[in-house]
Amino acid sequence: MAVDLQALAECIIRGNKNDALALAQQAIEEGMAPQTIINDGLIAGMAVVGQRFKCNEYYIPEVLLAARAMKECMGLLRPLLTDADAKPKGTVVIATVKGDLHDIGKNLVSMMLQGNGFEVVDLGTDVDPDELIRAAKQHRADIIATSALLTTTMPAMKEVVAAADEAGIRPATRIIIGGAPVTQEYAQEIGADGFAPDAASAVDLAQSLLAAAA
Amino acid sequence: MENSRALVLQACAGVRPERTPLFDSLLNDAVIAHFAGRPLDGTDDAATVARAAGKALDVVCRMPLPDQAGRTWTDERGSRHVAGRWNDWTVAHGLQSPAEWAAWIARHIERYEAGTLPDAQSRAAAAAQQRAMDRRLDGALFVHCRPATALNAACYDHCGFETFSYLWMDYRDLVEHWLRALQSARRRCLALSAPTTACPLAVVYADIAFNHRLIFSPAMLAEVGFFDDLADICEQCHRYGLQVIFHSDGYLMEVLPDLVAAGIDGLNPIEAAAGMDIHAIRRRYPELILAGGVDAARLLPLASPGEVRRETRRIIQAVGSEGRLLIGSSAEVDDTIPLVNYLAFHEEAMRG
Ligand code: B12
Repeated sequence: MAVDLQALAECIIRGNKNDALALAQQAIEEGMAPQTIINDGLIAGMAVVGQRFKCNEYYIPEVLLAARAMKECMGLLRPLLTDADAKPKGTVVIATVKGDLHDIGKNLVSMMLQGNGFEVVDLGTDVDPDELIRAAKQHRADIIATSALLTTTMPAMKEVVAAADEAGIRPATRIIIGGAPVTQEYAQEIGADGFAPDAASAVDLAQSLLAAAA
Repeated sequence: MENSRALVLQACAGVRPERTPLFDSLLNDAVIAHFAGRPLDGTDDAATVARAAGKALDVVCRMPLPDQAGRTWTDERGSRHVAGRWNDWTVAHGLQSPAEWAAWIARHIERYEAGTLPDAQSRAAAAAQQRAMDRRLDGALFVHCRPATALNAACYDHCGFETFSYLWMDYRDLVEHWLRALQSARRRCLALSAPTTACPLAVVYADIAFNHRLIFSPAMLAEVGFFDDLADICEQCHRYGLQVIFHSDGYLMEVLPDLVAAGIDGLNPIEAAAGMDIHAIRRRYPELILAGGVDAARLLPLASPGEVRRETRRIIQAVGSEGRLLIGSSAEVDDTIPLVNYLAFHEEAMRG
């Protein structure tokens, strides 16, 4: 019987990696196109997870488990993608800014972006603006995403914007920001291209910025 | 400070004290130098820190010492840590996969379970240590008793939230067993620190929330036994005559009724920036001791001294009129807070 990709999406939604892996494997064996499995199984599942997180139905562990199930399935599917298929929706270079070591929120944003078909280069925490710009150039990033959890490390986001301007990589590379003390007004004030209050909205933001650029 | 104990006892009993007691931790070079009357220069910093805390505060939650920023070390699990001036961080976990953690946990459960209740000799040694520390504090009260829930010990002292979430899914029985073992280790610790402490408060460090929401769902908190565990802590502390202040950053309103039902007597740090409204909490829970409340995200680091004074006064008047307020920062007094702002806050609070 043909694998029901809705069932695969359900496994992602429930964070059930073993069943998700089994269904993804079965779908591959049945000759289903890897991109279809990704879109209609994995990404469809993650979209529901994002929605539930946004409306407070899901908390952090549920999102982590879903993202893990998705990642493991991607491990099976990625090698099967053709070059044309393998093109990600966009490339995001992400980091927690200089002086700040909080990484739970940044990791969640990174996972949600990956879960929705973005290629993510994660530079970790306490990252210099120059390092971000270097990585953005090297990976031809569409988006630089920075996270700050301390009021006092927020100004480092402004330095990233200035460094990107100076390097001449904008507007091709967009800059988005987030983290507990960060606001939409602050994004506007420092000239960033966008802010999102949570990981699911970060995906919407990245998608809308890329759509606007296309 | 001189009459800290009397003030704190009054405030906690719901009597308006002469002035609202100050409750905090100092991790700020300028503030410490100001109150100690000498800088942190590497010569007996422990005495400088204690002197400042004793002069500035009535209740001292933590008293870390400044470290050499950038110092790194590897622990017995192979995790790499780096020191900041006032905090240290795990930069890389030695154990990576949930399977590696599960193997480590299985080996270590026995160690936790093998512990026995402290004997008279170790209790006497702990009491002597407490008294030696208290003597340096000029009458201020140091919170010797800082139990952690098993969930928080697992996440913050060991594997982190992410790995905990995977372990809870993949190794449920083992994790339940581990949490029970962490609980019994905690009970032993509490039996050592609670009976002799001069401070009538215990502070339960239990970060379970962030901006506008909980980290774990209320259902998961119940499932891992968090509320039962908290009730166990409260029961043990109450037996020793201590009131329990529950500390969690972030927005807790969704589970505040459960925390109160578990037996907590107070709440800290009441983070306005995360959505906590100290005035609304006071109205809804008139009996709760509220500790903290002065915004450390924007107000203390960035506002003018006048704004700091006004907000401090407003909180004291609106929330502390019947006691049950221990005023302090909504986090800790760290280096982000300029000395002038801390002094504005402090002077206003000292005015009564
Ligand atoms: C967990 C935690 C810690 C852990 C961090 C563990 C880790 N590996 O990250 C520990 C205990 C180690 C820690 C340490 C410290 N912390 Co801390 N910490 C927290 C806490 C409780 C939760 C943060 C968290 O992980 N939330 C969960 C994640 C999922 O949420 P999030 O990060 O907000 O991310 C979400 C959104 O913001 C958004 N997002 C995040 N990044 C990005 C990026 C982009 C591009 C986008 C679009 C969106 C986005 O999406 C995420 C998911 O929805 C907060 C409380 C709070 N109110 O947030 C304090 C808090 C952030 N910490 C604070 C402080 C002061 C510190 C310390 C300085 C402590 C001290 N006094 O020494 C040190 C920091 C040292 C340093 N140099 O960084 C303060 C900061 C105050 C301020 N505004 O300046 C807070 C607010 C606590 C308080 N009571 O005030 N902390």
